[in-house]
Amino acid sequence: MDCTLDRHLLDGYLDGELGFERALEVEAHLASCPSCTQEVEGWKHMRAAIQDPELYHRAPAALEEKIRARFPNGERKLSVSWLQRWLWAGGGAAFATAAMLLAFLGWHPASPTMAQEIATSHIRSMMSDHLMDVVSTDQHTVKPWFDGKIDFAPPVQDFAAEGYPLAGGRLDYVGKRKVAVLIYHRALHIINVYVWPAEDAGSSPIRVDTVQGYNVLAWKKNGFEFRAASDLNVPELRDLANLVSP
Amino acid sequence: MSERFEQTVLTHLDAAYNLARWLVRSPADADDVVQESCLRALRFFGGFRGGDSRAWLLKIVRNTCYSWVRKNRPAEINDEFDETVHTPMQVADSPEAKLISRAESDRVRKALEALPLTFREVLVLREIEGLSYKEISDMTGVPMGTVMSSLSRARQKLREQLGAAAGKEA
Repeated sequence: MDCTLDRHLLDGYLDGELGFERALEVEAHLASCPSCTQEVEGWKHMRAAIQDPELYHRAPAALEEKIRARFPNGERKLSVSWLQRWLWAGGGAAFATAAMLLAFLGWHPASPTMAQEIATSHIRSMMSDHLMDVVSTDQHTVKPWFDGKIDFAPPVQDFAAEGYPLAGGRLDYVGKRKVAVLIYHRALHIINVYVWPAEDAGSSPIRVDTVQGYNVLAWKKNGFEFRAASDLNVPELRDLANLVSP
Repeated sequence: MSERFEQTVLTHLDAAYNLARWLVRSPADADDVVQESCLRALRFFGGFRGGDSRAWLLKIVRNTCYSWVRKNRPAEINDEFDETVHTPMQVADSPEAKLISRAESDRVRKALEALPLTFREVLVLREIEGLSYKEISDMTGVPMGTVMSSLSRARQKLREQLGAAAGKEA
């Protein structure tokens, strides 16, 4: 009861929002303070209950239809003034002109950056039924599944204990080569981790890009190139990155 | 509908609906709020400079929810952080470890729904939508330090709420 730790620090710690040194301080404190430890553990239980899919309200299918119907190019043109429509069309025309000009100048929108390509692959994987080729939470099932399908053995490990359960794997085609993709979950978020052999043995730190609302992390380590794409926040994605390539 | 707009908005429709549903607490009203948010999003889309489209859309949904609550349930807006109610938690006899084992999702849902709007909001954004403090700060316009203390108080409130509910059942 005579604990003097600022309670807010425990929240920052729980949320992975403290800097490295602060987090170490809190950990040191937890080691000697049973009541704070109990509080942290208690919230982890609570968090699991809150993140139960039962508590997530998915949009009803009819809602998307209603929204599509209300938009300018939908069936009905509701509450969109002629001016807005005109601007819309004008914007389209301007875009078309710009695109033609860029094409003329030799800029090819068909050669997107790697981050863009990863984000597109991530989005596609969630839109189609092609998220996973092998569905398993068991690394000993997923790892051998890649044998013979690709010419390298990607590191496959389950991190359920750390809050990132392995959900499965698939093959994908990125950067003009076949790559292994590991699918992890974090609460309701899906994380696609792309792996392929690096050209050299060096390593490079994690770089973060945001493409169309998705975070794309890129790094090189242990002889592999890694990319991770998700709508999960960056600190937690970094956590997973550090687990995947220790 | 332009493809870029469609990708930006409809991709995050579940997140938009989930947030609206938690903030206005009724399926029909959440439906209306999300439709209204999408119209607003279309209006503001010209101002969207890329970046995190989910956070961008959620911010619009959040603001639309607040307009809705202000109009339809103004009492909820005033029901903000009441500093006097907040007492430092008594950690040693916190019964939450026992509570959680019995707390099925239904009880947690009810407790979360019973929280004042601002507490509910910060918990949903952090725990369900997984937003960072920075993202919550950008969305709600409060400093990051305040996000942390709001979360701290919201968690405390939720524990109390669950404790109260358990007490009534007993």
